[in-house]
Amino acid sequence: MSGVEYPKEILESLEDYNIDIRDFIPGHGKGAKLLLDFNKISGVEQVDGVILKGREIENGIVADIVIKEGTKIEEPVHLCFGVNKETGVQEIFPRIIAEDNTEVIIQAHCSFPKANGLIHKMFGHFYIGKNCNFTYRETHYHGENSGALVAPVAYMYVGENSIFENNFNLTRGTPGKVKIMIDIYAMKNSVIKSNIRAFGKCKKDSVRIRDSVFLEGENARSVIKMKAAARDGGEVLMYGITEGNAPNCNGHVECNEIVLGKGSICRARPFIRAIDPTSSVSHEASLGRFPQKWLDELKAKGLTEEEATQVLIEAMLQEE
Amino acid sequence: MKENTKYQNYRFVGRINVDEIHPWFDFATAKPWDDPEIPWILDNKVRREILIVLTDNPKTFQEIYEHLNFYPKPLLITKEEHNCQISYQWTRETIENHLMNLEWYNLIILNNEKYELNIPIFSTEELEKLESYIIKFTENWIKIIKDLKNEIQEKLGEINSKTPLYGILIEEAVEKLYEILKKENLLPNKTNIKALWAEQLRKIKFEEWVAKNF
Repeated sequence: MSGVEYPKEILESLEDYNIDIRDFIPGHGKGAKLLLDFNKISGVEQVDGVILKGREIENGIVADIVIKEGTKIEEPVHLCFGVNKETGVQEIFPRIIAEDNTEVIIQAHCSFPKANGLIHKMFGHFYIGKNCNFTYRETHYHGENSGALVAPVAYMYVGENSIFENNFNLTRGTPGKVKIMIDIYAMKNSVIKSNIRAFGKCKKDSVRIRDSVFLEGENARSVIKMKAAARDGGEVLMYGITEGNAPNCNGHVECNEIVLGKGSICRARPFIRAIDPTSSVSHEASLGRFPQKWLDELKAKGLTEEEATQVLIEAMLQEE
Repeated sequence: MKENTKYQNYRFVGRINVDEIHPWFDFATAKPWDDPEIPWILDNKVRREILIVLTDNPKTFQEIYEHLNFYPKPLLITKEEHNCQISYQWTRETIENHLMNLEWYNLIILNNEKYELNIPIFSTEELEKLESYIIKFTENWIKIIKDLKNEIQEKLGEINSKTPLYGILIEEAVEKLYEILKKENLLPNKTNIKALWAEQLRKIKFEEWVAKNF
């Protein structure tokens, strides 16, 4: 691994998300990189226009990621926060600042392949300036034992005329207990797209995600799309909040959840609020099974009901 | 248990003490289903910030507007390494909407062109003063609980083995306490008393907390 000592088990799960592991390894691929193994910074690679600075703390990291004004980079900034042991409490405090007129993609991966009583906490702040195009993609892998408790909190501020896309994906492995809270504040003319995907696969899995968008600037727009599935006793709760607090802002919350097998629970709680008389906020949610017609069409192609359901879940969780 | 001030510098606390159950009350909590102890309006940081800026003294709209901007700085990168230029200002229209919202829910009131708090927000100094009385209350409770421990075990031991009984006894005792305090005129004699307040957990900003601790 090019002189970088980083447990390969932490990165292996990236392949399940069709992400090239080499992109994360310093010395390979382009783009800035920061690798954390519990509380040890195993690798940092900088590029022009991006400053990465981390400080190891007793059980995690404090990290700054600054995209300098006017920086436009095609290659994503790769961040990996992993723990390669069964137990412990990891705590991370990242702060991401994208100054005005920047364009960047951040690809983050949180991986706890051996988790069995492991706790991961994050308290993150994202500050996105004016006229930015900022994409944040985060994939998670919590092993196969439902042994993680993962509780990140993120406050995100999106400046005037900026586009912010947030993609969170927890569809591989078994999630364990997951409680995520994201608050996004949208300024004038900004556009927010937040896509959340999660899959609870057994009785020990409970995934509860609260994603809030507060439309605070005139003409700010947002769409929250939450897609989830619960199988074999798993539980998912998708809580999408959108507030229209500014003139002519427009927001939408959409939630689709599939429940599979007895004992599984899917819940959706869209909470929309319109405070400005010219704002417009809407929601739609559907929970339960796939339409029989879809299943029949796949069964006609030779798939069993179980295989057809699996294909449809994969398709739903990968849908843009 | 209060948080250890790592994540937030203020904590909002709510309580609804219900002594008159209406049919529309939630089955599980006996609390109004539409009226949470912490109102939904506090979900929003701008509205929380408005309340916090009003803790010092009442302020005009213009003064509130001038307080509601921020210039985030990195946690580790120094000014010499890179001087971050990024700022946010909440707009007048939005602040106006938030103020009307807070007024509607009685968290603030407009008095002579100035907005003032209608709920207590305790500073750390004020909390210290409260703390000594909280300790006195608690010590007396502990004494009573210890004195009755054997008796409770003897008479209610079977229930205690199934579910933690002391939590239930304390909950019920607080409810009874409200009832008696009303009769003694130590609380306003009205039904379903609601209380909402906030506590300052940390005087310094999160950035300063990080610099100090890490």
